[in-house]
Amino acid sequence: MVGASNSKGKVGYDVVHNLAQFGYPGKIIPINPKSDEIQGYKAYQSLSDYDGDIEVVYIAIPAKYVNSIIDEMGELGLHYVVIISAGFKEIGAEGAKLEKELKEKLKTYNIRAIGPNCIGLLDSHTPLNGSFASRMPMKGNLGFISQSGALITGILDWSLNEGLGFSKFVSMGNKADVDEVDLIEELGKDDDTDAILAYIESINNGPKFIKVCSEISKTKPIVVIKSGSSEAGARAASSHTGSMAGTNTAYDAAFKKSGVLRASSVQELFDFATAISSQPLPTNPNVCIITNAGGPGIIATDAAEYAGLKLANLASETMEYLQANLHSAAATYNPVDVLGTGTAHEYSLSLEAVLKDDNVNMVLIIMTPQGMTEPVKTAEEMISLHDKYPNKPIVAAYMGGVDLEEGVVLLKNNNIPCFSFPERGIQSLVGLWKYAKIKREKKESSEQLPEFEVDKSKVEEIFEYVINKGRVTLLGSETISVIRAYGIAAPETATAFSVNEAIRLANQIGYPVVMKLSSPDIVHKTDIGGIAMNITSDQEVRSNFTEMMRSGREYAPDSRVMGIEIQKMSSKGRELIIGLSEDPQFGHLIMIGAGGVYANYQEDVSFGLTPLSKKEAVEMLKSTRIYKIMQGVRGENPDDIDQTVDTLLRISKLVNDFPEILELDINPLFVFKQGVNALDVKITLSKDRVLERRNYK
Amino acid sequence: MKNLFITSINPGVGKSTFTLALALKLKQDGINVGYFKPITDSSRDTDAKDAKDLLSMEEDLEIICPQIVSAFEYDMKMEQVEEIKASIMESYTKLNETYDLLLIEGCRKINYLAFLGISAPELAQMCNSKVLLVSSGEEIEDADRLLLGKRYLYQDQLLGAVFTLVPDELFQHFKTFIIPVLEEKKDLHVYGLVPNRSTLVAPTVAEIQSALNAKILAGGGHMDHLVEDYMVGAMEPEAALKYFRKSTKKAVITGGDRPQLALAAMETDTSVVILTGSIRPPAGVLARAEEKEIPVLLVADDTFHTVKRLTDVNVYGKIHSDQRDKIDAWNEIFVDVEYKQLLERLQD
Repeated sequence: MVGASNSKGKVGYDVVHNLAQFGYPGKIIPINPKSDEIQGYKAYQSLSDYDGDIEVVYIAIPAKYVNSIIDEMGELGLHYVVIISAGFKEIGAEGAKLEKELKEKLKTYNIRAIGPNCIGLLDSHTPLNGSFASRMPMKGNLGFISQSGALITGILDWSLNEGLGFSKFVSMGNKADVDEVDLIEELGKDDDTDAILAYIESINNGPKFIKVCSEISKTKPIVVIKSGSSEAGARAASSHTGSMAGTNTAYDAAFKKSGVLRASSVQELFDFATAISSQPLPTNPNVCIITNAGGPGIIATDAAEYAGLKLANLASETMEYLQANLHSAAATYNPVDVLGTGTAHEYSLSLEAVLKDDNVNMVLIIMTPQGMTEPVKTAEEMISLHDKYPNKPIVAAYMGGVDLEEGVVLLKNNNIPCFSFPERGIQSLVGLWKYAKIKREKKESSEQLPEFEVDKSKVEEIFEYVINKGRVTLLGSETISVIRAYGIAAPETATAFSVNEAIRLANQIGYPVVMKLSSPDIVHKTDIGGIAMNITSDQEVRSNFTEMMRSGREYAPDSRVMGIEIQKMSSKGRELIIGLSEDPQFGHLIMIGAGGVYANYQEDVSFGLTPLSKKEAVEMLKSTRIYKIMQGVRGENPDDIDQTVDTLLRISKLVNDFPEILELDINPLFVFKQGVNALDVKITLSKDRVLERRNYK
Repeated sequence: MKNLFITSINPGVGKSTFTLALALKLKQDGINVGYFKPITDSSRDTDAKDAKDLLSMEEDLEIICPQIVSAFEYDMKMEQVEEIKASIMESYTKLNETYDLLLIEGCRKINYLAFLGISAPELAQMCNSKVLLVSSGEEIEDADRLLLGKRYLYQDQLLGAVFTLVPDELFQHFKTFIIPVLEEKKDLHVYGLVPNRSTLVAPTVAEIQSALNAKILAGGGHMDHLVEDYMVGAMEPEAALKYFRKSTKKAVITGGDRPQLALAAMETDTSVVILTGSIRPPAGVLARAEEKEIPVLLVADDTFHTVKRLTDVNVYGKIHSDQRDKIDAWNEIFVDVEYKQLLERLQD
């Protein structure tokens, strides 16, 4: 511990104190140039002064001195450090410079580091409290990693109250080296951890995150709170972390793709966690609710339906049995109401009956404090029945405080999750079900990416030409050539820069044609008279050309390129839009949805991250509202859904092969009963990447 | 051999940069070439100094650029005009003795100071020069303006013309149609087309910082980036990334209270972020700027005025001898400029 101290209140005091008081079984070596002894341990002036083995170094000294300690570690061949010190990237430019230096040193000496600017790490199994948090978690199987140290101390304190055990708490700090991906990977391998929880504000390496989580979610649930999803939150987050708040959409798509569960609140995170840490996974979403009060039963029912669970249809034998054995006024459908007079006996026989019922997969037991209620005895029954039927998850909602306290404690100590409100009970079951689905899906799919025959060299040629011309945006005719090279149907298109050229091209392509203003600086052509349709003669070409060019020049006088696209006119089909944008964290985010000039306002789109499998592409299309219409309504035949999915997959392949595409938009993509036609395509490139490809060749 | 007087149809078409680039090229080819700018309109003009440095000329700046005549001096008496002419001749004589070929740069444009009788044709005659007209080629109408310029010169004074800032898509047009017609029908030879490539005339971040008198908040070690375009950040953060991706090597101007826009800008090919209204951004933004090696400047003006200052003043980057990419870019351009034929014609 570099920076160990005898002065209470200093971090250097706390860490040593915590290591000691919580029984760290290894040797604690305080380093302090000014003291011989720290809190009863022999202290040394520097790392080099200590003769024996050092496995991990903790650092809690001012930021400006940290890098020289790293140098020392490098010389001594030490490879693991936890840097608690603040004063790095989080304070601004000066700190960022220090952190940059730190990173370089870590790399040079091959040192793995947690932090800087973190609270440390805790492990309930070793036990190790290498932090300045003053408590130790109860031994448990939940691993929690957090980008906020303060959140850890809060949750830690709460967990002790709740009786929820954790295996590890790790505070990531600025993530100069070890980040969420490293930690998730580690916790994935950790035998003491059965579920991984995380609070994340930003992700260092998106694609790696997806890869690692996809693998680990096959066996362990990963539940994440990603803050900064609201606009104001995003602003706060980017000020906090200095990284571009990746769009919420991209995060959602990334989590979905990698099988990560996203919690929308800290409470939800821990409600999921509570159930996951002790209950088995369900095999279907059928839940049965047992209650001693009608009102809460209905509330729970609502919550279940809204959350996507199903209220189980009890088998007739079950209902007959309940009718025979409960009070005549008791409800024996689902929810099962044992009435306010229900004692432990009624709860017990109801619970056993529904657990035996094949139609029931999960149970929520609600209790309100009435005259005859037996909270402790009922709890005992629940515990023994859960032992008897261990394959179905059960949770309890003891709605009360003082009167039900003892029962609550008993349940929690015996691994039956117990909440104060029925909705939270439902939430926790939902978490179980969601993970069960993820696990099943991950098992089923290991799909190969679809293969297509495409003309890569044509696309390379076009991109190089564009970059050589000093542009990063393609002209309409160039984009059409690109997507045609990838097997997507599009009408013949060429660009003209003079009237005579336009007439020649129109005749070559064949009337009728459409004329469009072509310029990278004009986005909304229709708004400025930039599109003329159904042109059928040379005369029309001539008159439209001049007017459109004039309009274009007026609107964008400084535009470096201004021409007129001549395109074969297409018949009208269902208008869709396919869009693509590279998310700085996760790579290419692709979307499909209802298109047309009002597309931006309708917002009927769904998202996914490339590379897309066929399953993902189909699911994306199915989650749009326009899909319903595409299936054929009001006696119409369905649209060519296969070709639509095919187009989406080809675009996914295109950007997979050419990551230099930063933005791509097809609007509209016309879908017919047979076939599709991509009328207007926009592509923006990354100059650096095109040049990289050229140099690499 | 006659000297070469270079003037332009309009100011701000890259005449000075072209002149220096041509001078350098000729010098590289072994010609004993010197630079002369008889009149300038501002004491802040650095053309003479740049030329002196680039060509390693020994003469004093007062010889290389002897006279300053601004638009505020139009009411000078005839005697003063004669004095100016005399001073110009003095410098010219000295330089002409030393150098085999002088590239003489006119001030602003072809008819600047016509009112006083010391515009391009008069000066070119005084200095025994043929005239090269530099015109922008941004639109076809520039051909009309070029012909007007030709008329303004004295008989037989015109050597030819060069079109600059030609959009790529008009290149073929100029080559296959406009230039042959000018040659055959209007007896005007075009010696070259210079495409509209921002690298050729781009200022550095340092030059911009100086022009704006801006404070450097971060990334101070990377002031040599070239700035080829300007963009203003004033949109919703979600739309920002898509928008900023459309341009490379750009300056992004936005308020310091819009950290997400600054971050989005830094996520793309950006040479400098300029924050307006004296509003400092949060620490995270500056930290990121250091990481990405992008300078962040702070100015007091609002966004509108900052953009205006940047684009009006035409911060045309000069070619300094340490700007390898600029010099290389210009050298590439000379592939499309018949400077050797130009030289031969001067010797006729």
